[in-house]
Formats: sequence, structure tokens, C-alpha cells
Amino acid sequence: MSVRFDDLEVGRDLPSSSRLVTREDVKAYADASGDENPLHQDDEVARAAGFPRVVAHGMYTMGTLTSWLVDWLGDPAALLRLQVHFRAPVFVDESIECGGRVRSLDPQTRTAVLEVWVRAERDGAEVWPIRKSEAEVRLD
Amino acid sequence: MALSPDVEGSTYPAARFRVDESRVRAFADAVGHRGPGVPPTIVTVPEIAAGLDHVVSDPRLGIDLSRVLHGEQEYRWSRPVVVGETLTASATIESVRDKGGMRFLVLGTEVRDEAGELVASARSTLIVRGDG
Repeated sequence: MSVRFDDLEVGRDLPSSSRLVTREDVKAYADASGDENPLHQDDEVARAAGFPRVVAHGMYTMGTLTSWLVDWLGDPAALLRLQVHFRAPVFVDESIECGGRVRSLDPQTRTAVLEVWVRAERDGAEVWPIRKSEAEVRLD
Repeated sequence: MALSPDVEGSTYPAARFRVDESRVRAFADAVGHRGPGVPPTIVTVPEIAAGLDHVVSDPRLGIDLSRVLHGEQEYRWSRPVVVGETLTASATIESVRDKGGMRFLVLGTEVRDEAGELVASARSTLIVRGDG
């Protein structure tokens, strides 16, 4: 499935999607990216830094957000720009939800600016590991 | 946290990254990329090798990796990355600012293909927490 420019409306929510952040995926991300900071692999190191357990890389979370976005776009070439603010850590063994909304449309260039976010529930409260962030995409 | 004044604008040695099938598959699995094509954030791989890897061992900065947080990240892609090409990334320290007991380091990285054409540019803001 791929979305078309004419399908978009300002203010429309994109279909969100959740993913469980596993220790194995975070380890796989460390190996694949080359970021072997022990904060992302070793509970003891994470606890010494003040976290309850291993923290996912910010770039793991941004990479997951990107995969969700590309899945919706149907084509990696449609993604022109992605800018994120990391607001909270993501811990292994929790679920994150990726979502967004159409912020503006430019029919001349067939580009759209999307607001994107990553949300999690922790101890009964909402946390936003990525918020007030945006993507620019170009569609057919 | 005294800093030598020549740090801003300084560059690090470039890093090369061959986009081979197995690396792409491992990266795609880790970030849940279901295809088609290469995950756009695979440019993080040469970006880290060109920037963060040097930053944490730069004696002028004296950064303790365990105190580094990732504050912001931006990518602009000129075209999708393709399997089989070799990318070269070069990083520049764009700014270093101290604020509220924390240091904000902005790194800019250009990722180019074999022809020297820009594939993606990245801007990363690292936050180094102060002592205590």
C-alpha cells in the first residue's frame, strides 16, 4: 500500500503502529549501527546512570519511527527530511507507539509536512520519547 | 569545562561504509523496516563512525560517554541509499555551548557517494550532563 498526495488532508491522523522494544532488537541495533555504548546493553551500566534497565538508543527509536513512516509512504524515496527531539528514554521490554498527523501540504511540490511522535505507557502514565518532531515527504 | 577556542568548525577524518546486503538486512531487522529498499536511517552507520566515535575520544572535549544524551537529530536525504554503494561521511563540530551545567554539542555530517554527490546530511545535538 502506498499513500498518494491527493489522499492527504491537513489535520488528518496517520494510522499509528506499536512495536515491542526487545533486548534482542536493541542489541541487534547496537551491532548494526556500531553504537556499542554499554548503556544500551548492560543493566548495571544503565542503573549506574540512573535508569531502571537498559535504554534503547535514541537512534533505535528514530529508526523504528522511520520504518513506520516508510511503511505508510510505501517508498523510502518519499522521505525527504526527518527531524526529531528526544524527550524521554525508551527502556527494553516496553511497547512504543509511532504516530503522526498532516501539518501542511504544498500542492506545487506535492510535499507534505507531518508532525510525528513516539509514545509509550509507563507506570500508568503517558511518556513521549519523541514529540514535536517533523517529517517532510514528497508523494505522487 | 574549559574548552580550546578552535574546536568549533573542526572536522574529523572521514569514514567509509559499504552498503552491503547483509549489513542492510541486519539494520532493517533491528529497526523493523519491512521494505522495499534500504532503511533511510542506515546513514547513521557512517555518521557514527565519522562523528561520535571521534568526539568521545577527542582530548579537547574530554567527554565521558556515560554522560552523553542524544538531544535532537535531523536528516535530509537527497536520494535513497542503495545496496552495493560505498558511502563516505565527514563530520564537523558546528557548535559547542554550555548551558545550565550541561554542554550542547552540535555535529553536522555529510554523507556522499563515490561520485562525491551528497546522499544525505545529518545534524546531531549531543547533550553532555555535568558532574553530579
